[in-house]
Amino acid sequence: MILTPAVQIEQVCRSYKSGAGRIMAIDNLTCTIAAGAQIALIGPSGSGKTTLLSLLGALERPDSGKIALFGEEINGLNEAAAAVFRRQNIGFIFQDDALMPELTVAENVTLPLILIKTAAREIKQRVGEILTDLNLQQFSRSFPQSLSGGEKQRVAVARAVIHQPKLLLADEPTANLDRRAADKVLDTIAKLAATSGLTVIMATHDPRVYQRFPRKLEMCDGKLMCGC
Amino acid sequence: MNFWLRFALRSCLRRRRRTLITLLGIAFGVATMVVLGAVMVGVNDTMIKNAVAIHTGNVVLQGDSVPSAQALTRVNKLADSLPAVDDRIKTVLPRLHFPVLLTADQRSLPLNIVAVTPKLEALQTPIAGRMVSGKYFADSQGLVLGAAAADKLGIEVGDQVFLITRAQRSAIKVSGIFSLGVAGLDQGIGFIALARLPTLPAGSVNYEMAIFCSPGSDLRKVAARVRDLSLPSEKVRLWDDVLPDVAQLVKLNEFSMLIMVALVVIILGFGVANALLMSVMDRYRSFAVLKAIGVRPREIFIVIMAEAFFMGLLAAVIGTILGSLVTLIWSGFGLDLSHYTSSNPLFSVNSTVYPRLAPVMVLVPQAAALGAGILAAVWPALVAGRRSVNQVMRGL
Repeated sequence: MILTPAVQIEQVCRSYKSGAGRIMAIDNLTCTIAAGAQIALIGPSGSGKTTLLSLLGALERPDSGKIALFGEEINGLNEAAAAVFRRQNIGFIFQDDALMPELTVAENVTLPLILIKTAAREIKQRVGEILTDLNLQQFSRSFPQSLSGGEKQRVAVARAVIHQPKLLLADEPTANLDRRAADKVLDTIAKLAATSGLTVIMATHDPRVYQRFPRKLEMCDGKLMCGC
Repeated sequence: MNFWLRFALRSCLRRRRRTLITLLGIAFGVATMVVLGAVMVGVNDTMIKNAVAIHTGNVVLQGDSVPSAQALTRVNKLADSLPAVDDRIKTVLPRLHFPVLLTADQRSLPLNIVAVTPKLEALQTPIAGRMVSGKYFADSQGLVLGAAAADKLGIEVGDQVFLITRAQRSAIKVSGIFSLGVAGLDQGIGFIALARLPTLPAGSVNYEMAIFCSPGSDLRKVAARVRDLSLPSEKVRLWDDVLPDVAQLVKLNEFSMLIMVALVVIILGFGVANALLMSVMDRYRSFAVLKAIGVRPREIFIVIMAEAFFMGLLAAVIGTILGSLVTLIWSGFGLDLSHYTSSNPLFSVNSTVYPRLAPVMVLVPQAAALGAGILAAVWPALVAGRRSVNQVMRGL
């Protein structure tokens, strides 16, 4: 039986305008990531990690090449179709917690379920379960501003996985956290990935973080240096 | 959908200061429009009231020139039957007109004599309250005329004058002199009691029934009922048909108000657009996150539009309440415009304007503010929806 890979990237290029010239953020990159893999995307600042995550998240389109997630080509999707693809298949965790300050913790976590039109009863049940699993149930009705950095980031993790996506993209999710809080967040992600078969790609340049990952992709000047 | 509306409401509440300032701005604009609208309605009311009180009533039945005895019979019959035609009719005043030459000593003056029912007339028209000499029909056999005419003839109350018609010449005593401040009326019109008419050489007269209705009556319906009772030779007309100059002035006033409302709405629109755009720019990051987790631009557009709707609706309600309160208080004592209208015939009887809340002038500012708010939100909503996610993600 041939398993469909989670990510297939073929000769992808992405450049940005910079002054009179262009900067090559992703330079003819080709790579395949198996479903259920946990990957640390490492490299110095400006190496193209965030651009690659944006391309994988259908937040932007490549200049050339092809990107397919779970067999579905995403580089041709328009904005609305890309949004629908993201809400069904991808979870995002950002460096900053990026929670909606207008919404309570429970409502923030609920958001992805509302987008995929989950029944109210199921929403209640799943939000309750995940908040309990992540030890956040006591903050259910709190607003994000009353939470610590680590707690916020765990809420962000809950929001990223509540709708059971196939792919979790994390862009330096522990960069603003202290060691203890960072470990807690990483433990949470690892546990969720292990139990759900989630494919995780996490950009980081913190050795303490990427050492926890079984597989690393190192980037430099928009190219993969090793690991693929 | 409910979720996005709740989200929009929370966004408004979270940015309390900005929401409050925007909301107060819109509410103040609405209140201003309500008060100005009420003043405009009050000005129109006063003009119409003054004009119809002196001239026509709200609806007027006019008869052709007929012998005075025939006219008298007809108006007496109409005075009995018209009030029963429609319960919106409050008062019916018979008036018979005929021209005379008024002479005193060596002087003379053309005058239009109006034969009236003094008691009823005193209740409806302003003449009784504008006497400068003598009392309004203290002598039911006497003549009440304007101050300008009395000056020209050099006569006073108690003097005897002569009414000359084609038929003959009759003596009559001046029983009162009024001054309305309107040259045409103060010089060109005189009143006698209807009961005196048979003793005077009126010859042929024109007759009319001035019909006064309760405020807000549908005058066209009243006119239609009166028309059913009228003879083929009689005409039934509304006040605005008889006094097209006043009707035009009322329309002009309404048009000016419309321009004022439009200007306030445009200013409000820019204010709302500015406030919402600032709010959207503050939240680029939030919108980027929403889009990243799968929210479509259309849904972000809905959120911003809903915010504008909530603010516009609340502001419209607050502004209407505020404007209505100011109007109600103001309508208690009115606005004395005598300083500005002393030479205007339409304000000569009563120059105090009482602002009045008319349903249209209360609803139009509300709808306009809400519409302006929503329209003004389109641009910020499009900006929020179209902002590239990646552009903002890099700033996260």
